[in-house]
Order: sequence, then C-alpha cells, then structure tokens
Amino acid sequence: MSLDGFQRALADAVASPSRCLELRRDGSLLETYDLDDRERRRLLAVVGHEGMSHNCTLYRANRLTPLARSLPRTCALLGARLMPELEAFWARKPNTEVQFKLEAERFAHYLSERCNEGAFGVADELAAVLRVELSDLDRQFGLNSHF
Amino acid sequence: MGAATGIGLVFNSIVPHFLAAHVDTVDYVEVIPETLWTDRGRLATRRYEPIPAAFDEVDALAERYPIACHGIGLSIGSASALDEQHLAEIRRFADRYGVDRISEHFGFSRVRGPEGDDHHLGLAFPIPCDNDILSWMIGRIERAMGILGQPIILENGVHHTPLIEQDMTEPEFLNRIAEVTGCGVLLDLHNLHADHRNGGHAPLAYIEALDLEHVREIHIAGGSMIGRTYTDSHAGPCPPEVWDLLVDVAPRCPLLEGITFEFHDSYFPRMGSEGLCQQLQSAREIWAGLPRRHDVT
Repeated sequence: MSLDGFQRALADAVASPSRCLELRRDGSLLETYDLDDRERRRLLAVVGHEGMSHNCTLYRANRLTPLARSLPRTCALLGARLMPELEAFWARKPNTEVQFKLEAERFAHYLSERCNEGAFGVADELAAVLRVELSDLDRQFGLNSHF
Repeated sequence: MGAATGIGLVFNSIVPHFLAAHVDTVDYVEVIPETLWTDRGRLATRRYEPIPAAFDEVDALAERYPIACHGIGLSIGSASALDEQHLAEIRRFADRYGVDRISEHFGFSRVRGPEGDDHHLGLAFPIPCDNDILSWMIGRIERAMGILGQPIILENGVHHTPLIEQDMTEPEFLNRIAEVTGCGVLLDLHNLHADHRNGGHAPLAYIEALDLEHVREIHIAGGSMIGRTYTDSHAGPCPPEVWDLLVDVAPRCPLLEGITFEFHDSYFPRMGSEGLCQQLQSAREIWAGLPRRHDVT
C-alpha cells in the first residue's frame, strides 16, 4: 500500500486543471510519486474521468467561498481584478485553508503586500475596506476562552 | 436531555431562527462541531479557538433539543497520522452536550504536508476499498472510537470520479469495518442519488449490498446542477427519488435512530420556512410509519 503517494498525487491533480491535462497526455508524470501499478492505473482513470473537471471546479469554489463570504466588499471592490489576484494568491499559497477567518487573513495580508507594491489604483480605499471587514470578522469569530 | 432520535436538522445560521418559530418540527439538532471553532492546525501551540457566538447558539438549542455530532474535519481515510488532537476536541464537544451519536465522513479530505501538518483539499474523496486498506482502516477506527468513548458512524460520500480495480465494493468494505469495529453507518440517500444522476451506481444496488443492521442514521437533502454535474449542494427540498429511497430503506434499518435533513443556509430563501416545514413534516410521516421500535421515547 502506498496510500500517501496516491493521495498526494490526487490532491495535486485536483488543485490544478492544467496538471490534469498534462497527466492525461503523459502518465509518466506520476513517476515522481510512490505508487504501485494499480494505483497508477487508478489515478490515470481518475484524471481521465469526466467527473475530474467537476472535482477541480469544486476545489476552486471551496477556496473562493471563504473569501467571498468573509470579505464580500473587498471582492466587490476588486471587481475584474479579483480572479487574477486570486490566481496569484493561490500560486503563492497552494495549501487550502478551510478556516474562513484564517483564509481571509491570509488573503488580506497578500492584498496589503500588493498595495505596497503599487498594484492597485484604489489602494487607500482597498486598505480601508479590508480594515473594516477584518474588524467585522474579529467581532464575528471573537476570541475568548469559552471552556 | 434524551437521545437524538426521530427527525433532525443540521445546524446552520438559519436553524436557531427557524426553530424559534417552529419549535416542534424537529426532535434533535445535528451540529458540525468544526463550525464552532477556528482550527489553526496540528502544529499550532493553541490550536482551537472557540467562536463564542456559535457556542452560544448551540448552548441555547441544547436546552431544548438533544444534540448529535456530525464531523467534517477528521479525514479518517487520510494516510497522514490519525489526528488524535482533533478527536479529543470532538470528545470535549460531545461531553459538553451529552452527544450519543458522532458521525464522520468515510473518505479523506487531507493529505500529509511536508512538515507534519496537513494540506486540506476542501472536499472529500473516497479511499480505495482494498484488503490492505481495510485492515489499516480498522485500526484507525478502533483508535478513534477509543478516544471518542463511543462508536463512530461513517457516512457514504459522493463519487464524482470512481476508483477502478478495487478488491471489494464500498458497501462490502463498510460491512466488514462495522462487523469488526462495531462502528455504525450514516446512509446519505442524496449522495447515492447524486452518484446515480452522474452516471454512477444505482442507489438500490448499493443499499442491497449494505448490511442495513449497521445503519443508525439517514441523511436526506436536495442538490443542484453545476455545469453538467449534479452536486450534493444541499440546495433545497429533497428530489422525489430521495423520498422514494427513504420510504423503501428506512423500514429495513432495524437500528435506525434518526432521519436528518440537510440544507445550506445560503439556499434557504429558495425554500423558506414553509418549504422547510414541509420537508420535515414529510420525513416525520415516514418516520411515524416505521415499526414501533423507531418511536421517539
């Protein structure tokens, strides 16, 4: 059993539609993972299955949801810049953070860095909206010892 | 507080408001404990930060309703080390509310990271139902139940990309695990329906292969289309096929304790309070028709 390699390879494929397409063309790319023959055949069947595109869609939707729900005004202000910035953020932070507050804080930190780089014409407005939404999150999630 | 039997509803931001106005529509509330805290991961020195407002809501519900636990964060099928810290936190949750039914998902949603932490996929995938995986899973489940102090109930997942060349089917795998460990099964009928809608196995074939004596809970829900795929999005009322399955299978589960309706709070406006009441009433009518042993005491 090399379940660890199997799960890593599947996770890498789900996180990257382009990786799936590469694997469909060239199964030898799986050689970097510790897999037995059956696991290799399984993975190639999975990435070649039509349901894989849905897995990739769900993966991206589940990365977007914490930000859309936690930082709605920030997302709205970014407008058409949102998706390119998300793609860049996900490239820098490939590991999914399923905790809404933590993911919102990570994205806010990324955007602050981008503001400092002069990436946005609305940097002052963006910084102000981020401050308000992070403050709202702190109130919503609260921090105290409840036990 | 009594046992979580009868008709239940999965907790979300709408549920406290709904139940304030419709008190007797459910017998228990099922809570996803991971929504009550922020989890900073295995390597954090102070890993779990409770969300006070969420605990306040569950505390208030627990004064009137039994609480069941429906975990989403354990990832029992991950190749990474069993997350014993997480199990201990679930145990604390269960002790706090007197929970007598703890369910989790059969599959994996995390992979081992390079520094001992986990990489979250954000969605669950099936594990291969092979002989060597079976013995490994049995060991993990037994350890998990030891920490929880009670049997765990495993839920069948959705399979958008089925696995080939498995040694046994998933129901056979679940039967074997349940026989050896004493764990139970949470049969999610909408997940079976979703698989079928997407070209997968027939729900009744899965049900016939499953030993229904292990089923302690049934989930029902609605779904929606994303592109060409039918998803288990909990997007509103159950489709007719799920009701038909429930009518068929519930009487054949001798140890069934509850039927739980799941909906995502963002879809509530589509259904409204009246629509939610109708779903719960339909489930209750089916429950009421079950053999006497199913009655709420």
